[in-house]
Amino acid sequence: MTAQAAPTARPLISVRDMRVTYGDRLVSHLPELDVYEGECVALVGESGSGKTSALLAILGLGDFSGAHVAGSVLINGVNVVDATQAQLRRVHGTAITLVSQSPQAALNPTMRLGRLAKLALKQHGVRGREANARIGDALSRVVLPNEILKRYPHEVSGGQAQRFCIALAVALQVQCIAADEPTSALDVTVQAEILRLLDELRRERNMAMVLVSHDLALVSTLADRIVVMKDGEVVEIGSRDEVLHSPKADYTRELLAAVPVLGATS
Amino acid sequence: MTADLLRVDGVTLSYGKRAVVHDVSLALTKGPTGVALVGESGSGKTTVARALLGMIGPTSGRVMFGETDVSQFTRSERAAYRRTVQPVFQDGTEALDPRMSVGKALAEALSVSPDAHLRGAAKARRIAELLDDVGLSSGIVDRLPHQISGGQRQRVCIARALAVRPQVLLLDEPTSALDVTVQSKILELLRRLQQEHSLTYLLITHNLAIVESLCSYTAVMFAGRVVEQGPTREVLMSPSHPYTASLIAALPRMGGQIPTAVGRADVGFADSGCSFRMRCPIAVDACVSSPELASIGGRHVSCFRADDVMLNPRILNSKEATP
Repeated sequence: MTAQAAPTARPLISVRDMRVTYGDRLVSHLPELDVYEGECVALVGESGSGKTSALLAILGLGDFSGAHVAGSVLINGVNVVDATQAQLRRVHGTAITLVSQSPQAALNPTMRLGRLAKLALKQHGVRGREANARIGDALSRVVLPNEILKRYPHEVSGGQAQRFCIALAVALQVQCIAADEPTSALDVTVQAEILRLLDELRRERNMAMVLVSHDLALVSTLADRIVVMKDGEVVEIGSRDEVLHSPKADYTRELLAAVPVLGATS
Repeated sequence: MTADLLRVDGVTLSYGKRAVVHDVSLALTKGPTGVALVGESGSGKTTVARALLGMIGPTSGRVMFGETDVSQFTRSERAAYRRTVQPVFQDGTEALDPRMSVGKALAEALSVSPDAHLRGAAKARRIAELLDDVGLSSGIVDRLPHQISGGQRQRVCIARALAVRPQVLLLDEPTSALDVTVQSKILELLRRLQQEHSLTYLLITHNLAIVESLCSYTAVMFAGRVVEQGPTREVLMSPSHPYTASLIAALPRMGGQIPTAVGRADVGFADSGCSFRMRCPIAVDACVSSPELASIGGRHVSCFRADDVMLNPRILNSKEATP
């Protein structure tokens, strides 16, 4: 269950024996996972598999919903499992940021996007001209017009809101995007554009990505490594090709067989 | 003159003054068969289904049940119609009364079915039969909806629809709230029931990959209009409308490349002329007027450039095609 990657590089995120529990109930257990720069690691599973709990714990947000997180998650030398609020904020501004399933819900509905963007940067010490420049660059990178900054979250489409959330990550210059079902609320043609964008950012900026999804086909187009989860445990972890073409776990085979394929009957 | 069971005939549907479905025609024949209605959110798929259920009347055009206009039904005709056409929705949690056990929910449906005369043991037998038909054990009868899984709830919804011995099931995203392993089992069930009960399906879905297993005919909707319709295999394997092509190109394929975006996805639609032209990678000047739904290559397409797409699908991806 070890991670294969460039042996010289230091992992950006290093998870060891991370357990998320609600009371006595273990909802998510990641024995070992290292995520390197520029790498996309996907956590795949069905509802209740513990994939989102794992992602939130990696972000240091596991205890917000009343869960208890044990073990360690090292990001830039900080163990986010028992980090202080100040440490966590620094990690979120520089190392990793969340792109969630419902972008509109993630954005404060009472603020225009421009103010939201400035606040996000201010949180992490970027102000004034520097902030404006970064926001402008980020928007053009995700192909959003500047005038979108005058809109409220409900005045933009779901796809635009998701682009905006990704733009915030770009403006903050984080090293890793943690994406929780980033496209499952979007239409499939918009999904394709967002997936392209995420992949381009990875290549251009060597951004890492931890992607949570129920959609194995989607994951298989983007991820370098796939972690298959079921009932809170990792049932298989391997490179994309290993998992897709020589799966070891019965459950992985079951998942692969269940994915509907266009043109399967012709 | 026609063997159509149910026909949507040039129907336009409005909410208030706003028309959301324009001039849609579809025919459902006697089963086992299926018609799929695909398209993105807001394309009008569900509104068409609501019209078929009589929940919304057309502002123009007709919904025909055999030779009768659905809007001209007498009370008893309407009741009979509602037994013939049964809906199954996306979310069993919302579709079932949370206070009603599985057995009660089925008994309630039976009370308006051709089996309404059944009492006692015979009624219990029929309920067990319905549950068995959808792959549930009769031990589940006393459970409440929240005490069973999402897949089981969807099976109960299907059993409830079958209780009135319908000919048509309107399946509105029947599997999109379910995990994939559950989805594949529900699809298998729907396939079996379609054959065994000679059912006609109208399947509404955004998931093109599940269409083929249940429906031999597919209509693709965009911005309230059918842009392409025809035999499923032809429409999905060699699309001739750029929108259909963009839907297919956008589907992630196992182990494949990142899906391609054909044209631009997130720019809304045009109010006049071809509604797809703002997104279309091969739009031309003519597209400011509305293309008719015309017959080409065994299907109906509304696109001035359908011939070009059929001849050379790659024009949709080529750089020079981008306006």
